[in-house]
Amino acid sequence: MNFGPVQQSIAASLASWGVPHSGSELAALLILLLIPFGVAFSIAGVAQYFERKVSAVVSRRFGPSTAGGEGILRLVVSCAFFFLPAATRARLEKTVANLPGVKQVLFVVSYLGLGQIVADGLKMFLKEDIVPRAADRFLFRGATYVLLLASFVALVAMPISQNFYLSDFSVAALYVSAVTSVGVVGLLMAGWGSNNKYSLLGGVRAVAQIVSYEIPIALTIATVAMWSGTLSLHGMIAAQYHPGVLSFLGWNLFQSPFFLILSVVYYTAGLAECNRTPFDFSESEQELIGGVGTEYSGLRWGLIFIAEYTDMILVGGIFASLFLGGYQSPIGEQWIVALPPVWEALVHGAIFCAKFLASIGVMMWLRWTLPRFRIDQVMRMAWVRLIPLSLICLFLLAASMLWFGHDGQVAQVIHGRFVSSLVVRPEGWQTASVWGATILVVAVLVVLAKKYGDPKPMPEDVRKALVGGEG
Amino acid sequence: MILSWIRELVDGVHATFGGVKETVGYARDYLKGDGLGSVVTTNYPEVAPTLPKGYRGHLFNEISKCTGCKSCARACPIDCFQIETELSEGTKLHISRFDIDLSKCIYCGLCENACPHDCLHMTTDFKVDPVNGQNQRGKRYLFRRRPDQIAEKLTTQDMADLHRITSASAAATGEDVAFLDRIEDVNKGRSLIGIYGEGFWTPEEKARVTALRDEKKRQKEAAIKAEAEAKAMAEQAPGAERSQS
Repeated sequence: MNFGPVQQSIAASLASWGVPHSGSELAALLILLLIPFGVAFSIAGVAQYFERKVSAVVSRRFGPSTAGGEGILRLVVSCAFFFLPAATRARLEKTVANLPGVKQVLFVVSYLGLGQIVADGLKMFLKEDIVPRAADRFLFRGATYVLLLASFVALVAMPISQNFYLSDFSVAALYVSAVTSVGVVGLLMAGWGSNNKYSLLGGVRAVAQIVSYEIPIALTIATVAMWSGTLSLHGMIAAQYHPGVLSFLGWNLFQSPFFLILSVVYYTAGLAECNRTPFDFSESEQELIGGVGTEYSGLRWGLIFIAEYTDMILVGGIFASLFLGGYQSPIGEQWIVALPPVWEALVHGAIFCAKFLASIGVMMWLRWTLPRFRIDQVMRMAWVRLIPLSLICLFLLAASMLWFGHDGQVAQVIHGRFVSSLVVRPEGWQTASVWGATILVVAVLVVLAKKYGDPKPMPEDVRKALVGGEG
Repeated sequence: MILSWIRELVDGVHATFGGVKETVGYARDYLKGDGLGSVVTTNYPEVAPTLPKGYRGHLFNEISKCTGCKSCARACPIDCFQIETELSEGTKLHISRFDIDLSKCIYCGLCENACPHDCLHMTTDFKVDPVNGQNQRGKRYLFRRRPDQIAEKLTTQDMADLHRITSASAAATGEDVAFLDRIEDVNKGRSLIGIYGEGFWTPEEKARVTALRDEKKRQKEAAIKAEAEAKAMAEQAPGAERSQS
């Protein structure tokens, strides 16, 4: 495994400070590992705030708007000046809070309710961790670790930038899709270990759903792999390189209309993989209280929560890598590549973060927009809609590649520079004609469908179960 | 069949985008103006709510106008008034107790209509929490005196002061508070419902607690009696013991 030049440079600087060589390599790796962990944890914390805010915006409420910074200030002052008497500390607090700059900051913090982030985090850390007496303790406790591990292990393959990444291997896309499926085992462990009907039902639902939605995801990844001739995420990003200022034209999303459809398929399936609304069957509150998380409390629940947000980051990251050119900027790529490695890593990392954060934002938006499906609708969506759709796209893309003479050569991935020349690209007119033809055909089909196609009525048994036989 | 399949897909996409469009519209409204254009809720504890006209909140009695005629108590359908009057300065009738049991009051407003002197009002105040960080003594609507306070008759000047304090919009000053403390039974730091209310108790619960208290009292009395008897016995005993031995 390759750990990239940034790890090498950290190790070199550690060695120059007098750390022995064998230790410096390991220390550099640990420092490198801390970064994504810290990023995932802090994103989970901040995302919780935005989740509240987005839900408030959508339902026309204020959202967090009162949790301010006064309590945090008090905590900091009383921790820093614990040796002073209480009255002096109170006076000091007042003085600090009334300083001109601090006053405005505190006002803004309390107006936006930013204290909610700290409050949520502290609440999670300080609550009691209760393990029910009837629970299977091994499974109950193990489930959180399995869930967290499945998410974080996949994070290793995230292509954050050219020079800074945790590791790069030739089957990264396959690896991510394989490792995240282990999370299903964690959900089932949590469901069974809680010894609770609701938890068990939640676990069973999650397994049924995730196993189904793995298929369209795998088909999407296979299609992109066919297009770029590699399973390495870095290779897929490298294949989307486009010289010139309008570098977003090289992104897969704009390369073929089938990728546009596949991106929708992937995003929908990814939403289902994260167990987010409208696919939140494992924790549907109205039906199952909290689903698999019913019996969890305190930090153990927090770990499940962080695993969920890490899954969202993963889906966003993979989506960005497959369709949005990964860490590449949409307006010219040459100047970033020319930067020194550390700056390149920072700029590319920021672009990558922006891409997956935007995808998380859309997830939140959809969560508060769409109602939850019925379980039969979810299953139908996977097996009757998404899988045929992704198969059609796979075959049509293969056909168009045959026409382009794009035989899917294996792109040799060398980091630090792009290898786009190794991939045979379609001519501009070819891409445009495929786009035009597809739009034409889709438009004709939509018009025909609107005119002659009638939507399938609800299956009789489902209707009976819902309406109770009559009506 | 293929067309139906496509139709379903198109309908699904159409519905999803319709929903997203709707919520994006909400967000646009939210960000309009001062940033809270379309918010339909209010930040309640910080911002006072806009109450409808004719809102019936807590009762307020202008105690200096009140003649103690008890029309309100007669009009009250659930008997939540407890009014006691006293004679002061010869024939003048003053109120020594004007209690409204908040846990019973149904805020019907009949007492307000019945008041012949227009001194009993329904305010827009609906908070029961007495500990809200503000001195709300200036706006008290309950009036109650302790037995030792009743012994001290209120003068006309006292009533005028009371009226001035209770009808003032600002919080009471230290002097006024001292005055109120002198003439009123305030019971600081206790919930109003806790003081005046028995409405949370069911009759059975009340009977049970009363019986328990009586039982305790009886036991205590019995213990005291037994002790007194033992003492008396002990006083007699030395002689008896001596005589026995």
